[in-house]
Amino acid sequence: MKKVVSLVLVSLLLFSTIFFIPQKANADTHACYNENGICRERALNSNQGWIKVTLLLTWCDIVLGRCLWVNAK
Amino acid sequence: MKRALWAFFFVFLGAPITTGNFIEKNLSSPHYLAQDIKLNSKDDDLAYFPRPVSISFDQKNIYVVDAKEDEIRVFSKSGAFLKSLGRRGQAPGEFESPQDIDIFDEKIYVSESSNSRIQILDINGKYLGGFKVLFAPDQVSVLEKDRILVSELPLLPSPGEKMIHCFSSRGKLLWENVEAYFSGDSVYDTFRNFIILNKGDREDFFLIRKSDDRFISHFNKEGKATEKIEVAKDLSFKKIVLPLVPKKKELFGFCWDCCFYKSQFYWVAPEYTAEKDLGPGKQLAVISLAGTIEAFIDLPDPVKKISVENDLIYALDGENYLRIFQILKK
Repeated sequence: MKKVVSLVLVSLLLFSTIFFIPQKANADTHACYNENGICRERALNSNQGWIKVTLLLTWCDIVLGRCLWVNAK
Repeated sequence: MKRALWAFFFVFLGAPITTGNFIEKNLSSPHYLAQDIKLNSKDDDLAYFPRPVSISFDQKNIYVVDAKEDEIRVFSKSGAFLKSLGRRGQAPGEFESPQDIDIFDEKIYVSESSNSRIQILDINGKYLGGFKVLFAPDQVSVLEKDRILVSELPLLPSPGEKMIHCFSSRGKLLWENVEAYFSGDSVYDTFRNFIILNKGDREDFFLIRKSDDRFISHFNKEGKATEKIEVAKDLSFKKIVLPLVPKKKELFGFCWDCCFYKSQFYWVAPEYTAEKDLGPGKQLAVISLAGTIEAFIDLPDPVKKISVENDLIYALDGENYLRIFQILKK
């Protein structure tokens, strides 16, 4: 389980770093937070175990960070 | 066929135990068994929900809210599908990510996170009124006609942010209370801010935290905390280590879901899964207003959401199916 979690976390980080392709160049900060809200809501509504939800929420935060960074450029 | 025979046996031959409060008090935590009374629910597509978030009931029917289908499905108390209320959209009577439902005085109150509003509908889904809020509402609970509790799970909590807001039926803010936990780690804070609101019997309400707190907080309708009920040690915390970045953090799971019925809490404790995660359990603890455990009810499967009425448990199971159980003594 630990190995799987570590692998997923590392993959998420690598994915967000390597594939740093802006999806919505015109999106503003507000849209980033809106999308983050939807992402988090889906994670929370999934009613999965708490470790899985942690991974999903972490993924949402990574996407938010990427969105904000793209908009700050 | 076997399952049908068993269900017949338990439903028709299992004698009721008490009147009034179904669970007997002051026994040394007796064990009860809950048996399916709805047959073939797994074969019924309409009893499956892609993203069920809330279950409730009134005198006649059971209501299940699905956040993906953006609708409320109505079932009879024997589990027969009757109708759907609402559809995806932003117009009155439509929903976008409905999160919770409460039924009060033959009116349905629905919280919608995407539309940031509370809608009031009649029992057939006809729009009667509603109001916008300045956050994504989570749970809704109606204490009286002009006192609607709305909870919020802050996405990125800030210090001092409140999680419970009380509105009139026209949307006037009456009071706010319960500060969000804030550490700066948005994921960890989300878990620490998981709360459950349960309406009491006297226009009061209870707040239960899903982790790290074994106290039930009791509030009056003005939002003032009146007492803290410590849950007996028979119910233990379930420790889990969250794989947070940059540092793992411990969390102590205590409640997966809970409902309040006739002065008793029906409490789904979390349990460890085969993958060493923490998921919903398949045992309910029945807790008194003093915090003592009055009984345990063993269910055949884990349940995520529950509502209790007399000797019946309306539940959403771990596979997102509606289940109806009858409580029987072991």
